[in-house]
Amino acid sequence: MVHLVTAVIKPFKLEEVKDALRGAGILGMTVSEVQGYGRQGGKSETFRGGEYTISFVPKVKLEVLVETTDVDKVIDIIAVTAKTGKIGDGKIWASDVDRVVRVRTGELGSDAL
Amino acid sequence: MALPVAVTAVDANELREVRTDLLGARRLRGRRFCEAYTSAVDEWLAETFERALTHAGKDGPTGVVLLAVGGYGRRELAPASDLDLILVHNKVRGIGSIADALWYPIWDAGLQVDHSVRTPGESASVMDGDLKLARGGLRDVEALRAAAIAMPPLTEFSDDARLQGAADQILEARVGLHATTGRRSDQLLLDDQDAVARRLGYADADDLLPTISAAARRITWTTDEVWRRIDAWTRGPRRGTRDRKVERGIALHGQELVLDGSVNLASDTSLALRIAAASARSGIPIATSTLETLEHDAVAPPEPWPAATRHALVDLLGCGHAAVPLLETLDHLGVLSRYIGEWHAVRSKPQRNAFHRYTVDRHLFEAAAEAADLTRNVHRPDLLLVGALLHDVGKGFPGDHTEAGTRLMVDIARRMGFEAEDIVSLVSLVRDHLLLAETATGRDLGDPATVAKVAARVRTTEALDLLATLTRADSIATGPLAWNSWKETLIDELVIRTRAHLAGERPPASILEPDAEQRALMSEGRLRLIPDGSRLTVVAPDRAGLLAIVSGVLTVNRLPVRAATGLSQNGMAVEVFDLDRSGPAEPNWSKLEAELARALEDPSDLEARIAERARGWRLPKRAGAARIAPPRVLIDNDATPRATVIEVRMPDGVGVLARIARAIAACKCDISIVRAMTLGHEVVDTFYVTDGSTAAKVTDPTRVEDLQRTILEHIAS
Repeated sequence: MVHLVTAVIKPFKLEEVKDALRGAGILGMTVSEVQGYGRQGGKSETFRGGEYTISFVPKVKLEVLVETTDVDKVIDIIAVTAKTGKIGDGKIWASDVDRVVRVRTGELGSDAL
Repeated sequence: MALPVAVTAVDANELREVRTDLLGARRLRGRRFCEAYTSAVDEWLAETFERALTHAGKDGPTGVVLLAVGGYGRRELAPASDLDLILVHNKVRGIGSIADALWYPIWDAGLQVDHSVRTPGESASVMDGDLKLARGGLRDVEALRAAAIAMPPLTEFSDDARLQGAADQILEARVGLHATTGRRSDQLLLDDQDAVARRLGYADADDLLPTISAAARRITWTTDEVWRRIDAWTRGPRRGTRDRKVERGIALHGQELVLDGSVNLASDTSLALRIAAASARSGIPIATSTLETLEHDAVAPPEPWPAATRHALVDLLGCGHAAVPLLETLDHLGVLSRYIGEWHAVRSKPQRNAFHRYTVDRHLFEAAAEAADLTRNVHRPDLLLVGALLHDVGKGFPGDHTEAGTRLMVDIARRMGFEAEDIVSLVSLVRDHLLLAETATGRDLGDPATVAKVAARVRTTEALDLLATLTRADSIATGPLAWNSWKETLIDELVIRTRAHLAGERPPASILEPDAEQRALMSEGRLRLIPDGSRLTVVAPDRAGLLAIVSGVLTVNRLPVRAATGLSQNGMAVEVFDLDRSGPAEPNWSKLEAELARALEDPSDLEARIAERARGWRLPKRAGAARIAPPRVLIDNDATPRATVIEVRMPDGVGVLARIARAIAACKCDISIVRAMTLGHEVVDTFYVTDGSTAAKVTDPTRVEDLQRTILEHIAS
């Protein structure tokens, strides 16, 4: 069985998370530059010279396909590594994957990871 | 799409019938068939092309040329041959519908077209495209030869041995590519580059690619030069017009810019850069003979560079995207490397990563061009433009490119004659050109330490603005992967936080402190002019509009102001002007003093005389002329406690300082300090002003708005 772990994290945490996952034997991932907002609803701060608002905050989205037995481990690694303790640290979620095919060989499921 | 369908169908039938007839004629064999069939296609195609143009509403010289290449160009059309056609256009609007009105009838006639549509000056190159079809590829060479047959004066370009050599290089690479991959594709992809290089006897791709990109640039440059000439040629010669002097040493001869021989390239090293800038600004090409003169006679400037040479470089860079072909030209002629020796190391140097779309040298030209659009964001456009041109110069040298570039910049900036503090600024720009982009994506922007670290590196808001603007220009010039709204948001956030951190640490602008001699003159309490070379000091009793009158009198006497500083104390003002004195004659200072005295009594006709000077003859502008960034007026009430600071950033022109000063006087404001700079074609003038009646800052929002609007109106007129 295969799961897809998706995480939205702060951009500057990407390198650390990548290294930590590689250390745990997770070799592949897809990374996208995304923008959005969560509970914080974007940011609004006041500097000298006026208020400064960002409605969509830049984040990085990771997508990692893993063996179902590894899901908890991977979520844990990402959660610990990406945490700063401040607002906007992001989210992680996992979902069932119906099927996976490695394009080059046609391998299926776990063999395709 | 509105095609004249009925008409094209009939025409298409016509060609089909002619072909059937020709095929039926037994005596037409081999070459004789080809000849007859090619002529029939010629005739038919000429008509169809004419109709396509009319259909698109184009009459007379259109800037659109249809070229036959390949088998058709050789007049060897076999019954089932493709028609190899190139539609070349000079950024013509509606080219799509012209192309459609041409290709559809051809398809209707049952012919296959191997066609392409190209614009001279498009910037993609074989490095990211196709050895055959991309700019600088083999198709361009074919088009050049076809054009030369049609227009004999162009033969000198198409027969050029260097062009032939470049075409051979690309062909060699194409053969090597096909042999290596066994595919028909002409795309030299990253994955195949090493294998192709080895097959051709190079060590690896790093060894092969500079050869290919140099060849492609040679082809591209020649193509662009040829289309520029075709463009001028289709406008027809202007008979009976005398050469017109454009500026010192440069004249307009027919449709081209030439060196008029009055100034020597060795004695005035600004000349080569000035003629390039004049061409970029007007869109008028430089004559071939003049290009040859530049190639043979342009010499390295003395060290340090004369100010005029430095200004001419800034002036050229300030022309933005219009300057890129001229910079390419100077590079091809070998002039650029004579001015900046380090340049040879980045010439045609490919960058092998997914981010960069250009070779290093072209990337630097593009970065400077992007920076030119953003000059109004900074207080020193000259540092921005020169910094953009040289920020990656270290890529031609071993080791980390930023470290190498930082070392090189110290030397280059010193040779260019920049002042010590400007050298520091330029060196910091090169050293830190990746700082904002790396910090924004790689560090926690919410952490005050991140911001404090950046603030400690840049130190002033002026330096931050320069760096932020360079970062933007560099990223845009790199390619779409390096600049998008995601990255922009992150960098903007870093810049805004850093600016807030730096606010309040703004150092006062360096201003004039009167020396003992000036103080003594001020105590005399009357008008005095003290000329000293190109510097003129004016001491006068202060009055409303004094600066406007003094700078106005200088303007009408053809003494353009390059820089000025001034201040007013205890009812007396001292103003120091650096004048642009290109003429050898010494101005008549006593006449000037008398005229100034008269103007101070009655300044009423001064404005009209300035306007008249400004109306003087200017170079006509052509398609492709530089678009100069519009003026910007910044009003800051936080910079100093006692005055409102007005900063005007705009392109240079006749009497700019006088116009701004007049606008400020018209708003009933007094100027206590002025600092004016002309940097190439860029002007940055700073005024410390107070309200004429209250002697306090101008804080009322409607008055601030009024000041802004009045200044913009005065500089526009």
